[in-house]
Amino acid sequence: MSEGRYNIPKKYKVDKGMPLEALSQHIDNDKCKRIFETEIASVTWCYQIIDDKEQTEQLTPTMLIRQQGISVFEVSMKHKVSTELMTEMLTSLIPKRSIITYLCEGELAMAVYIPSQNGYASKMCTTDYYPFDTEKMIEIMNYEYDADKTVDQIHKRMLAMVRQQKRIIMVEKAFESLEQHSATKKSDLDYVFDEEALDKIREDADFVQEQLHVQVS
Amino acid sequence: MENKVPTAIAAAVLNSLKGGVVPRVGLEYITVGRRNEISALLQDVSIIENGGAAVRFIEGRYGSGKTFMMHALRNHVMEKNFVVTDVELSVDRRLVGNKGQGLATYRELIRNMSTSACPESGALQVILNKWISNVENEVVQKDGLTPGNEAFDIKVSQRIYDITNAMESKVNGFDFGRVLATYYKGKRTGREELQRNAFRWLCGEYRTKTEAKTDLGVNLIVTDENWYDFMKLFADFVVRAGYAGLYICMDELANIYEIPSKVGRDYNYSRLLSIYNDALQGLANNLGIIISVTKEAMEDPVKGVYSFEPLRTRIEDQRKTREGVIPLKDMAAPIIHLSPLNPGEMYVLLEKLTQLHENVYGYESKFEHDDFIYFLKTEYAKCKNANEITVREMVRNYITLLNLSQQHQNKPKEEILCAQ
Repeated sequence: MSEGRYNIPKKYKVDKGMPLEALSQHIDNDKCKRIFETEIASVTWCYQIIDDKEQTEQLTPTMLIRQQGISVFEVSMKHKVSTELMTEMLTSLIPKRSIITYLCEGELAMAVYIPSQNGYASKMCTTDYYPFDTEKMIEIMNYEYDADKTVDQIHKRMLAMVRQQKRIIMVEKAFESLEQHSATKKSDLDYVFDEEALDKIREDADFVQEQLHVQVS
Repeated sequence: MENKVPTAIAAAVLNSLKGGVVPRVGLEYITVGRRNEISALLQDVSIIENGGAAVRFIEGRYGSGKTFMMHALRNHVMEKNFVVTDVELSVDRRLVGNKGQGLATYRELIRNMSTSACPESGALQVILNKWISNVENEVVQKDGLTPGNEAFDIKVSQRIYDITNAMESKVNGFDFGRVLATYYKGKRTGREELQRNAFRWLCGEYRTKTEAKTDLGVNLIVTDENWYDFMKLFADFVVRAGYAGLYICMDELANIYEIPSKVGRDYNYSRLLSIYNDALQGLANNLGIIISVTKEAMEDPVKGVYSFEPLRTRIEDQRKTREGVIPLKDMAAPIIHLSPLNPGEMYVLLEKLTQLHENVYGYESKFEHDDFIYFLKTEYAKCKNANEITVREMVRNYITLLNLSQQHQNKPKEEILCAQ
C-alpha cells in the first residue's frame, strides 16, 4: 500500500493549530462557549485520511483538508472536561468525519464522529480519559490491515475499536470506584476502640442512668 | 456506677429488644451515648414541673432510637409524679382530620394516661379518684372534719367547686370544670350513672351536644377542633389533683407526612403550629409534648413539616441553611437530631447487653473485647455506610448471638460468632 494514500509523509501532515477564537464565535450556547475558550489548550489537525492516493501526492496541505476523508484531531485540554461534550462542540463546528484524541494530565481519550449521511443519523462514540498504556493503544493507521479499505471502512473500524475501548475504560473506572467505595467502607470501621474513649462513653452512660433513675421514696 | 439490674427488668428489656420493640421498663440501664439529648429533655421536665410548657421534636431515621428516648423519658417523668400519656399517630389518628381522626388521637391519649401507681394506661379514673381523696384528706387535716359528717361533705364540695371554678377562666374551662364537679357529685351521692356520664364526656365519647346537655347540662363536647384545649385543661387539672404535670409522647409524626392531600397535611401542620406556639407563648402550663419524626418527614420541602412555612421558620436550624453543616448541636433548639451511635457507643451497648444477659440466665458470657469488635465490624460491613446502621437491627442480632452462645456453651465462641 502506498504511504501517500494516508498522507503520512511529513509534507502532507496537516498539523497546524486551529484558530480557536474564530471557531468559538460560532458556538451559540454561552456556557459551552466559555468551556471551549477556557478548557482547550490547543487543537491540532494532524492528518487527513483520503481515498484517492494518486491525488494525495500532488495536494498541498490546504487542498488536502478540503478533501472528503477522515480528519484526525489532537485536542490538548487544560482539565478533564467531558469528552462527549467536547466532541459535541467540536463536531458541531467542524461537521466532518473525524477521529479526535484528547490529551490531559498525562492521560488520553478517544472519540470518533461519523456525520449523518444518506438518511442515517450521525454516530459518535467517546471514551473517558485513561492512562497511556501500550495495551490500550489504538492504531489509527494500520497500514497492512487498511491497504484495500475505503475511508468509510476505516472509519467504521475505528468506531468499533473506540466503542470497545469505551467499554473497557468504563468497566475499569466502575471497578476502581467500587474498590474506593469498599476502602471508604472499611475506613468507617477504623474506629479506635481505646480504653480512654470507651471509659468516657461508659461514664456518660452511667451519668444518664443516674439522671433517669428516680428514687421512689 | 453499680449496675445491679433486677432480673425481671433485665429479662423484659432483653425480650423486648429481641422482638425489635422498645422495652417499657429498664431503659435507663441500656441508654448509651445520649447524654446531651437526655440532659436537654430533663431540663424541659424541670421547666414543666415549675409551671412551664415545652415541645420537642426528636428527629432521626427509623431504628435510630427515637421511640427509645421517648419511652425513657416517659418512664422517668412518670416516676417523678407526672401523668404521662402516649399516642402513635396513624392513618386513623392524626392531629386533625375530616373523619374524626383528631378526636381519635384525643381518645387514645386519654386511654393511655398513666401514672406511677397505674403505669399501664387507663389512669384517668385513678387520677379523678386521687383528686377527690386529696381534697377530702385536706379537709380532714386542715379543718379537722371527718367523713360522714355533713359539714365534711359541704367543705369538700366547696373545695371541689373552688378548683373547678378556677379552671373556668381557661378556654372551654367552664364546661370542663362543670363535668369534673358532676363527676364528684355522682361519686358523693352514689349516682354511678352520673359519674359514668361525666367520665364518658372526659374521654371524648359523647357524639352530640344534645346528648351532653341532657346528661350533664353542658353545651360542649370534645371534638376534632377543640381536643387540644382539653389536653391543656387536663395538664392544669392534674396539677390540682396533686401531680407534677402532664407529659405527652407522640410517636410517628411521619404519618402526617404520608397524608396524600396537601390540604390535609397543612391542617395538621397548622394544629402542630398551635401546639408549638401555645407552649412557647405561655398559653399552656405544666404540659410537655415530645414528638418523634423521621428526618424525611421533617425536612421534605414538599410534604414534610418544613413544607409548612410558618412552622419551618420557627423550628428549622437556620445555621444549617446558611452553612450546610452544623458544627455544634444546639440542645435548646426545638428539634433534637439523633445521630447514629458511633462504634464506641455500640461497643458499650454490647457490654451492657451482655451484662443483662448474664444476669438473666445466670452464666458468664464468653464474649469479650475482641469479640465485640469482631461483631461490630461484621455488622458494619453489612451496610453500605456506617450511617445506615440502626441500633435496632444490631441489638437484635447481638441478642441472638448471646442466646446461641448461652444455649451452646460447649461450642467455641468463634464458631458462633462466625456463623452470624
